[in-house]
Amino acid sequence: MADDVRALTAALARDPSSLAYAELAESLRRRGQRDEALRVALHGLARHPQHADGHDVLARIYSDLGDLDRAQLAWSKVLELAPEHPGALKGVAFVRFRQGDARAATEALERALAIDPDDEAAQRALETMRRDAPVADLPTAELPAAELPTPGTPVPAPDAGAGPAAQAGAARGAGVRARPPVFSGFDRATADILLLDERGLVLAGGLASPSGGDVSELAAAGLAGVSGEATRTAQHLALGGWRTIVAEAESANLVVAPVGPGALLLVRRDRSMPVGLALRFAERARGTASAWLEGQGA
Amino acid sequence: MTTTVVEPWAEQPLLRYVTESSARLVVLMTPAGQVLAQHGFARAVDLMAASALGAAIMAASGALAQQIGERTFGALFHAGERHGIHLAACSTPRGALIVLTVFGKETSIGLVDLFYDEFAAALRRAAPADQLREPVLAEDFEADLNRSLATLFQR
Amino acid sequence: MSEELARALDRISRVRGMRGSMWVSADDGLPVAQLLMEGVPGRAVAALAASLVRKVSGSAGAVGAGRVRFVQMEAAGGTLLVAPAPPDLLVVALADGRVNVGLARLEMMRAAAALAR
Repeated sequence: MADDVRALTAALARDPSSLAYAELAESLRRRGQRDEALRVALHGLARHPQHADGHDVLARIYSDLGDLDRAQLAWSKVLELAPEHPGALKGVAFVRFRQGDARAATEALERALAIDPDDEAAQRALETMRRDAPVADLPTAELPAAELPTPGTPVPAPDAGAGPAAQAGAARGAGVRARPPVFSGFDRATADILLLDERGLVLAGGLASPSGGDVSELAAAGLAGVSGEATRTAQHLALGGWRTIVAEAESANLVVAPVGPGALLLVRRDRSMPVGLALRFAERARGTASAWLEGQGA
Repeated sequence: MTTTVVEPWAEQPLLRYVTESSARLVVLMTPAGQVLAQHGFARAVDLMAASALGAAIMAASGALAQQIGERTFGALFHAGERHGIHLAACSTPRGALIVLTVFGKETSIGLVDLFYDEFAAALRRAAPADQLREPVLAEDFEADLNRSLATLFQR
Repeated sequence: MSEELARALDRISRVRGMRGSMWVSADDGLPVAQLLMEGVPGRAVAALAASLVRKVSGSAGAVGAGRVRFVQMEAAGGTLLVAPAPPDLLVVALADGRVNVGLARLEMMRAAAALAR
């Protein structure tokens, strides 16, 4: 018996209520002793039913045994106990991928990366997902590939004179759900400009992924956290109210700005646009958003 | 995640600390390991173990500090693969208290330590000065502990 | 503090409007080296800047923008600037409203790139 298994077994024998059962089950699983691992995990969870890491190990064991339904149930339990558990998010992504639900798998991996951007396993899995997932599983399946927008490619703005229905149709055609055409006339109005509320819910505009899918809701959920963090940072450092956050990233520049109380704007611009210009663009969009919100009585 | 307190004055400082630090588990206890407030624990046995171990670690580090001529060490910090723990003592009008914090990768030791200082200051402000505890006798300790646990887990 | 880290902070601190600069451990949010004016709360700057960059990086990843290279938070009373220096450091600067952001950004990104080499 390997040293680690021996030591963990001894620890568990000394104290049967110890949480060492989880580590022991994982060691047994890695050694291929799945039945023993399952027994240890189930026994431990009987004593510790609220132990998120224990359910995570159980899920992995079921996954190794090919029982994806039980694996998914166990990972769901983990997320119920610890909503940001990275192992469970990746596990859910794996199960969804195996079940053919590429969209759900991608969302789970993106959530994992939102929590830990340095998670290389999640990054690799997401790259694999995007490379290998059948086109039919992705939101833009109904469009020929040539029509999929990519960030930075100038997209003709929806006809400003067209009615909301036509503009909404243009938005749908780009893979982004139709929403109030607040930013009509702005370049990439429904693919790179997003208005959301402080709870992380989308109000207007839209954000498209590089493959053309609608990532508005995912982005909105993450941005609410950015807004809260910025507010806290500015308050603690006695900087007053925050006005803008500019993030220069590898393939795009992002500008985030509050729009009155309770709303937030995200503008994404290609790296070819100077940051100063992106800020001016965002300021215009903020003015438009502010006027629209006032008109809504918000 | 639940927050429960034995002594009500500790509740607001604890809630704020948990919110700001994003801690997963917090125990506020006496140096003897008696729990005054907790956040995140689902089972009494886990809380008992954590408080006993936390108090023991603080006692051991205090003894080591004396050995090398230090009055006390500041906060202790242990980093694990997925979790970290922060353990520190603070003095309040209510007496010396220990705070054990367990946190995950969604926050950082920098944030926990930063907001721990604010938590300690809030405890000092909130703690009632006129209720200095009587020394707890050994035979009272178990009864005291059981009463605390009953309150914390509302049994 | 190592000479290279110190030199970088010195260059950044010479930019007009700077109140302080520091190297921060990205995961821990702890200061590694710092050069701060009186009254600048170094621990708070380090912890909060690291947390903000983590959240911004998560959002940037979620929208397909890729790895973040520079973050600038402008507030009514000053500006916080952060340049990630992979794999595990950040160079952070706190400035008042007069700061020459362009120059500060150049110095910070140069410092981050030098460390990566």
